[in-house]
Amino acid sequence: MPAITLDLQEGFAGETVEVRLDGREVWRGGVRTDWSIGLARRVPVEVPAGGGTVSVTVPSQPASIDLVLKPGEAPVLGVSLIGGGLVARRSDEPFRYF
Amino acid sequence: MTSANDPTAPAGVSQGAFDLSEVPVEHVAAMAALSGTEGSADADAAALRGPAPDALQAARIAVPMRRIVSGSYRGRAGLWRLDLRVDVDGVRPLRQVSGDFFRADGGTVTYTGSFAARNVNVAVTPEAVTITAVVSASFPNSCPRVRIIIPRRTILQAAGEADVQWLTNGGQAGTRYLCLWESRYFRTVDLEEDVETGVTPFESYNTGALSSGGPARTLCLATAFIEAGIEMRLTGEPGTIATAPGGTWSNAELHAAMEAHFRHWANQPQWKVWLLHAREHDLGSSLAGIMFDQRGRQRQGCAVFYAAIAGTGATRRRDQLFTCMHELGHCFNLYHSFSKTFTTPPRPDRPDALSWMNYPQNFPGGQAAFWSSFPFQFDDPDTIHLRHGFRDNVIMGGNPFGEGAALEGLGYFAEPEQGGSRLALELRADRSFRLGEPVVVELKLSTRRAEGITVHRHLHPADGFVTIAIQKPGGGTVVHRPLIEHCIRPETVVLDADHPAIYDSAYIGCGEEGLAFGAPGLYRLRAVYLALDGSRVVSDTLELRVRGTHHDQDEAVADLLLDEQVGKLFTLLGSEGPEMASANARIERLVEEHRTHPLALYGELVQGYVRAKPFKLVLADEPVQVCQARPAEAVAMLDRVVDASTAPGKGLDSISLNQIFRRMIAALKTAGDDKGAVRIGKRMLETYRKRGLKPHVMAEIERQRDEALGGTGSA
Repeated sequence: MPAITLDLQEGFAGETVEVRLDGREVWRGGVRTDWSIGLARRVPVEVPAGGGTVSVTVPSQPASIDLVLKPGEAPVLGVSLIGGGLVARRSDEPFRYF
Repeated sequence: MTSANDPTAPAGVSQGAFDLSEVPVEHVAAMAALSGTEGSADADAAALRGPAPDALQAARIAVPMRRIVSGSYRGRAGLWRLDLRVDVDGVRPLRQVSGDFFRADGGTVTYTGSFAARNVNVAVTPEAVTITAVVSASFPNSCPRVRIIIPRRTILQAAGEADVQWLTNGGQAGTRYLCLWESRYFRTVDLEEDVETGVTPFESYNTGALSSGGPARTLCLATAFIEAGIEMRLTGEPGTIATAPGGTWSNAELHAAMEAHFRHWANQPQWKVWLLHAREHDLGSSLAGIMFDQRGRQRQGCAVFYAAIAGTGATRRRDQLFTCMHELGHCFNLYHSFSKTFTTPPRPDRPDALSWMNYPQNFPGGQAAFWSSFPFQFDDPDTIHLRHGFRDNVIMGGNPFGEGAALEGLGYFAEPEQGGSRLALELRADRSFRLGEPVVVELKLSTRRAEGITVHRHLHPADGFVTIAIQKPGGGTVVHRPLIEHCIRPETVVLDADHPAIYDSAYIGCGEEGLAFGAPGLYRLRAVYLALDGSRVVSDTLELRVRGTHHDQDEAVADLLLDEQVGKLFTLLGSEGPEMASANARIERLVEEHRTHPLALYGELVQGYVRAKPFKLVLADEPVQVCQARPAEAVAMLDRVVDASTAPGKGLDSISLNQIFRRMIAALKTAGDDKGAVRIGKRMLETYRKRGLKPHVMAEIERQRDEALGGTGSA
């Protein structure tokens, strides 16, 4: 299965984040944004060739976002926690951080 | 397309007119008057963008070749030194003044606070520039108004002095400083660079090589910072760091490399920064650079990774310049343009900022839109921070990354700029504390030199010669103000090779400021000793942890002890006074209901201590009553306190334990039990002999024991 990159980016201050693929938890952990680069954690997610839905949840907020991947899509996903909600960004190329 | 932040402004508009020419002060004053924002709080957007072009043309005045007045000045008044920054003409004038105050006590110079004023009033005559403003400061100041007069000089003359007069709100004169011109730059930083083997570091880039938003010029790191008013001095040729081929760097390895290779690295704030040109970070080639120094004294170093940006082509050179400036900007405590709301205090985000601190890919319209408009500078708010931010919010090793707020009592946590004292003060606590536990710290004053130095022996804050500042986990700072102050005639002692140090301990859990350690977390403490020659001897910062509660009993005990009246009882080491009845009731419950809890010993301490001697009750309109001493009870209780404190790191600190031994000796002598007193004295020496103390310390303990056994019985 192709692996996509899910970058948990800004706004995280130690919250537990859950990542699910089509409802099945594939990763969970506490994350904290490194403000010098704007990245908290990079989570690889293996997505089937037929696509799927990647869900990111912050139970303590609560905040959740679903990212639907079409068959064959393998974008780079960036998710930030802003104002109590999750905001997503997609890119065909890896995000560059400074 | 509109700006992301301002519905009236188009996207990509520069926050300030980009102009590298020197702007005369007459022009700045005229622009401010025409824009109608002179002295107003709303001037940034209007005044810095300037009035309409035809009005601007009308304001142009033929100006003789006069020196600019902007730059850095320095002056002194009494114990105080003022480093002044004037920013009203020259390249990219921002119409601000700012400064830092330092206090010189004997051989010690210590930073005490900063001030800044925006949108200052500027009046210009052929003879002088007069600047007036109301400042905001990081310290309480009774004179918030300032008037600065700088005489006009031609470029053939030496720069004029800045006459700085501080004024109250009512216009009464405060302190006056005459400040000599120091530099055309607002701040000066030493830059040290190192290069990983196999990496070709950035040198320079011609901004006209590709489409951009400003005039074409060749920039290196030094000249790019000069455009922001910062002098970046290169401290020699970059060194080479040899690494294994193909390796990558973790943040911990970068920090270790900095400590090993940064010749000027120090555990203190200083205007010095380290830049490593490296190949690749553990996170891979998508990470072009990082300000990795986020522990201890932060922001002293950064790294740029060439895995994805190596090369000599224009695009690569542009990326290298951008990344270097961006990471160095983080070292100055600048957050990303799009993340300003996450700083302390928060600022508005500026996702459309044309600044080194933005991400080109985050700019509205994407990278192409960014690069075609970017003039290769910091935007105005970032430049204001670099030039005029409060010192500790900017200086490397100052406030932690992202923290820009001034702290109450900021000066207590400032490093001395010059440490000229022959004395050293140590503040110690040999372990963490439970929540509710009385916080007692040890103080040690020692001499650094073999020749004798006369000092006063009063280390306890209650004697008035030592101050302890406490920074709480939330960031606020309080100064410990003892509930009881001793008015004393100082006694002196000579510290020399045979007797190099004196010691004391102090309970600082409760003072006029209330309970200082009422929450779990990491506290930072610092002490200042006022020496006989007027110098201030400053200790290192002590990090002290108060642990949280884990069991119901811990919570119950903390509830009993976290009470201001109980804090007073600890300060007094017990009292039979009726006003202490509620506190004594809490202590009684602590001892009775939680006898086996580790903190019960403090209950027995205050109960035993007060029962060791008679207690006189002096009540209004009543004869003096005397509560008789109960020496047997006292000794039994204090014996248990000693038992709980025998192992190092348990129970009382060494100095407080010494006091308890002598109290027990005094109680037994008062009761006529001389044999018991001698027994306690013997136990006292045995306890300390096991601790491997230095001979002069052991000698002093023996002397104290002998005095207690043969003296009046007071302890």
